[in-house]
Amino acid sequence: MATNPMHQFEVHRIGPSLSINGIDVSFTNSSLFMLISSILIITFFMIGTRKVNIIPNKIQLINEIVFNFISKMISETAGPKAKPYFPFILTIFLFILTLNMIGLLPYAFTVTSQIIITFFLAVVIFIGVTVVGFAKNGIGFLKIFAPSGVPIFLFPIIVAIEIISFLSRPVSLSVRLFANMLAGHTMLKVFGGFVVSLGIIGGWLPLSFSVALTALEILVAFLQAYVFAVLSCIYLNDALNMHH
Amino acid sequence: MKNKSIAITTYLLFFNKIAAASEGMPQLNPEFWLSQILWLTGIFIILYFLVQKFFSPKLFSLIDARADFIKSLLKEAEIYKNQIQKIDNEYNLIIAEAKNESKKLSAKLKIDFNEKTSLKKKEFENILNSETQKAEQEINTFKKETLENIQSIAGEFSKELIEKITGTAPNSSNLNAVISEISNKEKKNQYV
Repeated sequence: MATNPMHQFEVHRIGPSLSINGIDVSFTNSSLFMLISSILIITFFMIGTRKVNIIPNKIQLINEIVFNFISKMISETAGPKAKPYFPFILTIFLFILTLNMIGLLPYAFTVTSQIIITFFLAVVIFIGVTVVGFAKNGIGFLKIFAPSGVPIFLFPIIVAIEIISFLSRPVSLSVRLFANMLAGHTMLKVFGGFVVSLGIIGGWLPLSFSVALTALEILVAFLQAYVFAVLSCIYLNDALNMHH
Repeated sequence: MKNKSIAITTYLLFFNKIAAASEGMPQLNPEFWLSQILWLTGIFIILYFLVQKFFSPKLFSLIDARADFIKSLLKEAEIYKNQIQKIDNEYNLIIAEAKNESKKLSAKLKIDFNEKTSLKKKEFENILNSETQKAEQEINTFKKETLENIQSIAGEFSKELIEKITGTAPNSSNLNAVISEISNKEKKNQYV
């Protein structure tokens, strides 16, 4: 019998219930996989930077490839002014990528399929970018809502659209990642259920679909982490290099 | 009134979410939202701190050091390239000079050889001429001697022959005069 494909997204407590000043801070399966993901990233960097050489070894080379990849992405999308934000973008990218990838393992929990996680990350980026925008440009940052060269009678509408567009950034950023992860994992679970219910005779077709979907999901996992990081850079670019 | 409406809206939204969660979207259950946010914040801050303080500077300094190292190697390579270019130019110059020298030397040798050859040829011709003259002289002498010998042999032979035929020995001076006259005639006939 096929299980409910949405059960995999349920958050449940691991260990005792913890609370600080009445706030529930219990350790959950979501927290566990966030912890595993961060430990993996730290281990990856620790091994890679343990013995750094001019001529790199394999793991150091992978470290450098990741570094150069993110560095290039930041400089291409947000320019040289965004260099101080490199560690933040790198952390965001690797954290989301690792969470997405770990979520693909059987019996693992996909943290990025939780809207509260993606939304919180998106809000942090949104607030951060807005703070940076005001810090760098002062009140002039508000020019982002007033594009130049707009006919005067269209101006109020354009400003309204720009404000809505700006405010919807955290929603679009978070829902994109959340929806992709949710849809992908649900599909995998549904096809997995078909394999079980159709058995050894009819289960081959959904199994082959499952294999193909897994490959697609690996791509999506990478792509969504990349899109999240790139969009963060683009928002940062708006704050650092005002176009309007 | 306003507070009441906010409370009702919040209540509806909250319970709608719980309803949605119970319908099939566990993500919308706010039970562990705060806990997840707190754990995410804590873990992300630690991760960010480690990346910013330790890993990022270490790898960046290494990448910069490598870039400097490559730059210094390229500079060194440029110096070596210039040196090689200089040596190559010098080599080409030496080769060109050597070619010119060899051309000059070969032309000089050719002239010397021709001069020496013509000199040797002249010497050889002189020797050849003198030798030829000597040989001709010897041949003439030998010819002369041979003719004289032939005359004396012919005289003796004629004397013996006449003596055997006639029984008396002829006068030697008359006989020699006749033989020399005949030989002179023959000589004239030969050289005419």
